[in-house]
Amino acid sequence: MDEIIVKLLNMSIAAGWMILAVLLLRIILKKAQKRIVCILWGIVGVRLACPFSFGAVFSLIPSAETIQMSGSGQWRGSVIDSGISAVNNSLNQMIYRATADSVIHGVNPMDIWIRAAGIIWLIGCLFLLIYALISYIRMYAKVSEAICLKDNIWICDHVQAPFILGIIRPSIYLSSSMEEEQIKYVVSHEQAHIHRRDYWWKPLGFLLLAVYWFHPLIWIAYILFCRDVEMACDEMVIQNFDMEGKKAYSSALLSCSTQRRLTIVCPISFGKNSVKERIEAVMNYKKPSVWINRAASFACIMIAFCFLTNPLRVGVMNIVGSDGTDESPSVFIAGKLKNDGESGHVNAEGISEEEYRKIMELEDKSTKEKMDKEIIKNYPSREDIPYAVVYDEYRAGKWWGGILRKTEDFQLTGSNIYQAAFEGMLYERE
Amino acid sequence: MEVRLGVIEARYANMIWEHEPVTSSELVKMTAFEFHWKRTTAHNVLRRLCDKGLFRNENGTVTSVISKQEFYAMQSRQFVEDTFDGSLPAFIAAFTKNVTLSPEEAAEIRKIIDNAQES
Repeated sequence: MDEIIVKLLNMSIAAGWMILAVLLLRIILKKAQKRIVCILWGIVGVRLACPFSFGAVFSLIPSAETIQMSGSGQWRGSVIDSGISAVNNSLNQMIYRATADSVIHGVNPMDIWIRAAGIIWLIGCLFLLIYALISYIRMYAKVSEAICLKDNIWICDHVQAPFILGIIRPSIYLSSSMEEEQIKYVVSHEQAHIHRRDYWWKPLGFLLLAVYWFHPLIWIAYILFCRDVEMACDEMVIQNFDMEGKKAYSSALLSCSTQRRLTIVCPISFGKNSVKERIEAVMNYKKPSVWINRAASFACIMIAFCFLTNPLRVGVMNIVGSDGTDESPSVFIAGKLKNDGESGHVNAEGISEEEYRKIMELEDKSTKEKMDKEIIKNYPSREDIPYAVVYDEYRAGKWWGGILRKTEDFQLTGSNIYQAAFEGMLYERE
Repeated sequence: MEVRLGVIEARYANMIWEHEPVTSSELVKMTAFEFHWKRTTAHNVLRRLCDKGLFRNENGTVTSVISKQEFYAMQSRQFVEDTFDGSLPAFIAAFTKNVTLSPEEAAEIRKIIDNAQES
């Protein structure tokens, strides 16, 4: 359960970057065929739905695993690696300060937070799904009194805005009091939806929304996706219309929208979202040039390459831990600093004697590969020199980490710099 | 009394007026044939029409409380009330605005007016 929520968080953050890129592209490609913009949203959906990806050099995602969980299966500790150093440093320091005390005493607060987050997520997700289910049931009840007009087109007394219902063989439902003139335009629009299989994509999109409800960008993505879908269908209908036709279509749009009620959810509806925007698009419609369409298609391919892949960068973490069994607590100390001239990294805070002893007790139980290490580090004053430091480095294809205790210190003659030597064991990190 | 009927409800009501007195099970069969309605739907809409005061269902037999003629007359009066502030002349003026009455129609209307004026 914990792993699921962390995985979801990471996937949503990765997708969030993608959504930002798509939002930008949407504005640039305003003049392109709306159909292609919908494909962009489809690619976002793939990113959200697919838990697997692979690393590639051209990935534009800063980090695929912003919240790190280390250790196979067992919750060892976590660290933030968002791909932006400044963010990493500040967040990790915050987490360290907030949790280090409790962690040393054997309880990792992150565990509790993650568990709580998981429960909240589940509640939100179920809430949305139940809401959707109830909406669907009410729709089905309403259309039981419908009469067939022709083929799969039905009219119903209690319907206000027209919609489509059905996943396998969708039917179009119209208000029984709709004027003759408007029926043909509305039907064309709904048939465009059916042709594009929107009665699959929209519910799937909502499903993703239910899973990722905690991420505000996902809501924005879903709302804009719905709008783009409507406009794509409008385009399909009016692309060869003359001005008269466009006017008639727009007035049909308008009168349907004044009858609508607010249902965010699933049924695809004619006059639902931002009617003004749609009417403007219809009246100002000009067939897009070949070039802009080509650019848009190219953009889709680029988005797929750049955002469906993960970055190759390895997260840098200082994690010191024992081989965790259920009884022994996990210890983590997080942070990444600038290189001190060594090939490794030292934690800024250093650790106190008491913390050192606790960690030493745990470390002795470790059965991993180990090696001796000695380093020298500079400090601006004697008070700044800690009792021990956390250290890790990348060597021979593996990460090694450990605690190094101060062995000696001295002031460099003729300067304000104090040097301290630290020595200890580094253990192979998982 | 203001009663509004949806288009489909009106079709159902017409069906009942045409065939009354009729059993509710016959109605179910008829609506199943014409509208592809389920049994429950036919009963639900029938109940709604009875609640609106148009029909009554006694032991499975459906009869009308108000005749079709009367009902639509009432609707028309309601329409004139709503749209022309109850002014019948205004309604007729609007109705005949771009329409020329045939001599037969004019005579018929004159006769109706005379009859209405007598009382």
